[in-house]
Amino acid sequence: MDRESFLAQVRRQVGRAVLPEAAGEREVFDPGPAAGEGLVARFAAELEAVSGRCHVVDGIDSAWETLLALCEEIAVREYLAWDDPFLPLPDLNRRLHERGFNRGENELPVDEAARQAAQEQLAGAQIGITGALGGLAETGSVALHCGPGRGRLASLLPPVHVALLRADQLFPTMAHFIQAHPAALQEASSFVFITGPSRTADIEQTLTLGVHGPKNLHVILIQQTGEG
Amino acid sequence: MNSNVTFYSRIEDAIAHPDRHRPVGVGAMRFAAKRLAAAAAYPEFEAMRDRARRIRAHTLCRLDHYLGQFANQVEKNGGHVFFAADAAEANRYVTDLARARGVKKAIKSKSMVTEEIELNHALEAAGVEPIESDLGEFIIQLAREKPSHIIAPVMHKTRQQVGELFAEKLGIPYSDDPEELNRVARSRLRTEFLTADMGITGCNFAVAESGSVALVTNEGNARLTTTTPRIHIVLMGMERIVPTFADLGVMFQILARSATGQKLSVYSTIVSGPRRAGEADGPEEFHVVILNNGRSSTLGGELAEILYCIRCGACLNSCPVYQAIGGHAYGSVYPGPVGKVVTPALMGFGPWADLPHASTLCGACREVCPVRIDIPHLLLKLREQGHEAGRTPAWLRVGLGIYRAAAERPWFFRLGLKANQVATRFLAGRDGWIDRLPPPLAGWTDHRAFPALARESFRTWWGRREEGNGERGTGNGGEGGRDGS
Repeated sequence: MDRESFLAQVRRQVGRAVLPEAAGEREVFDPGPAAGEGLVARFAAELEAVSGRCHVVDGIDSAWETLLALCEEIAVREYLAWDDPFLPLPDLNRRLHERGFNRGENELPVDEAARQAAQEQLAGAQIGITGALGGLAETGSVALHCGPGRGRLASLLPPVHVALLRADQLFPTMAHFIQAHPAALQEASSFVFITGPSRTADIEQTLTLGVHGPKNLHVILIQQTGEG
Repeated sequence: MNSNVTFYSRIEDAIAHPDRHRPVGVGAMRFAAKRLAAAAAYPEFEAMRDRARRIRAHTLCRLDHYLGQFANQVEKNGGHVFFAADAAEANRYVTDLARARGVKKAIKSKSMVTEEIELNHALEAAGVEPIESDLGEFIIQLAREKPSHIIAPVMHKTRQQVGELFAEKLGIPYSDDPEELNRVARSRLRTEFLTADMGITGCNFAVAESGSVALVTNEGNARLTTTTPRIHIVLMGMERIVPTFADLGVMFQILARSATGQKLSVYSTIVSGPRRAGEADGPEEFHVVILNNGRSSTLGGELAEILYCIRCGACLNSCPVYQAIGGHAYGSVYPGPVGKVVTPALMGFGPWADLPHASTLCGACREVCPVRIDIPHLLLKLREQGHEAGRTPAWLRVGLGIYRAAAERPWFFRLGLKANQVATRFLAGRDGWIDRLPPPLAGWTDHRAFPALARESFRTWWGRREEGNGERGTGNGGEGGRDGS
């Protein structure tokens, strides 16, 4: 059906619709002040409650040590990652290379044959490293705005996902985050709030982790020394 | 599902074979308990529900405007929009596109709207293999069955049944360990994800201001479906719209809590068009099919409120009828309280005229609905419409006619009462209950007993009381429950 006739048909029925609450002004929902006490503790507790792991660290150096320890735990040397400018650890990819880790090709080619070959190669990576646009304390979620240099596959294909986040990127709730980043959807072709590792309970409501996405989710939450 | 009789026979069947759907009742009650706990732990829940309801009402009253805005934004993002009047148009768009692009295999993320339009049949007929990637839907597809719950499609199966199915269809050694079954499904589906040409998803919400489509999953299959295949196609009911990102945030706050008791689903994914310049992954093509299929006439009628529905499944979980008969007995794609309204609303009475009668009108569904849809009220409206359309069964019409004749004539009413007092006492056992009524009333006593009428009618008792006696009547049958039954 063409667009004009479709919308005209809807318009006719909209005119007849009786929906009392629809009258009146649109409310502006104000979630209140975004800064809050105890955001780090709340975020960590909520993330652990959904089977994620939160590593609260002081400063860049401890963040790097924590990340390296996670990488060393995994025998495979292949990993996926966002580009350096989008990660809070400077030169992360170069430093991992020096330690003998190989960054997998991130590109999913447009050409069909090349695409499948690339996907199979990508599937070998065992750890994916990303930054994040923000974190939600209320739910222990990380917000990822995928785009150039910030591929989707790094947080999706490998069985382990490590997200790096600065403590000053935390918000109390999703409403606060949206208030601070109103155009996040326009800016990313793919945006996601991730709350814990992939899970299912489809068989007899028995919880099982790691269905299609990562089985392990680590968030390295970086505080500047002296920050609470 | 071609006649009214089949609905009743499906119910008979369900009641006669409780083992087939017992897991559904158990699962539903477990979900309901989790929802209650989540609501109790979230002080803003009631205010959020009110807010969500106002957002739904506001949007639907300007649906033409927001649909237009949404379509413009999708096109601005580099995507394509197709407006489908009905299931046939929607299916044709998808299969034509698949044919034009040489698609052999399409991977799907769980979508009720594709069940509604039976897209998988259309794809198979067009030579495209559809593969369901949600674990529950994957199991359903292997078993060639229908979902029994809108968010937990395979709730009717035990782990042993899934184990036997996997052993038979996938040729693996039998296991009933969910962890192992999940591992098998994951590895098979991973290969499918990496080789599928087209990804097909539904749409939990569509954001008008940015032309975005929000998809909520726990498994992550919607993220893969919208990332690895070169074409992503979205099927959405036209009522799925919210105006802004902030409105979407409100919906996210109530959806998972109402559905599974989670604060938020694991992946709340929001896609806005195909991959952009400089991006390393994502689909090259992005299509949205916006489906009417009976929704616009619902919007202009007495049942408009049902379009508020956000498909959380809370009304199914809370419903005593759903808990007792399971999802399949309804025969419709959408089961439970919401299904009893949505199905006849979208598809007409056809074989569905009896669905609105499968309710005790207890109001549990209204109590839990995140957007406070007054489902019992809508069921009454549907019963009224059904009656006006001549869809009331003959026995009920005749019976009500007799009752009306009696109720309008006090002498007739008193006579009937007396006759019934005598007749029911005659039929009742010593405990005052009737185990078997004669036809045409036998249906009542198939599954429950009927009490004999009290010796003294309420009217007589009331009359005595008004005269200043004030004592309780002495009727001795049919008061309270039956002991030991």
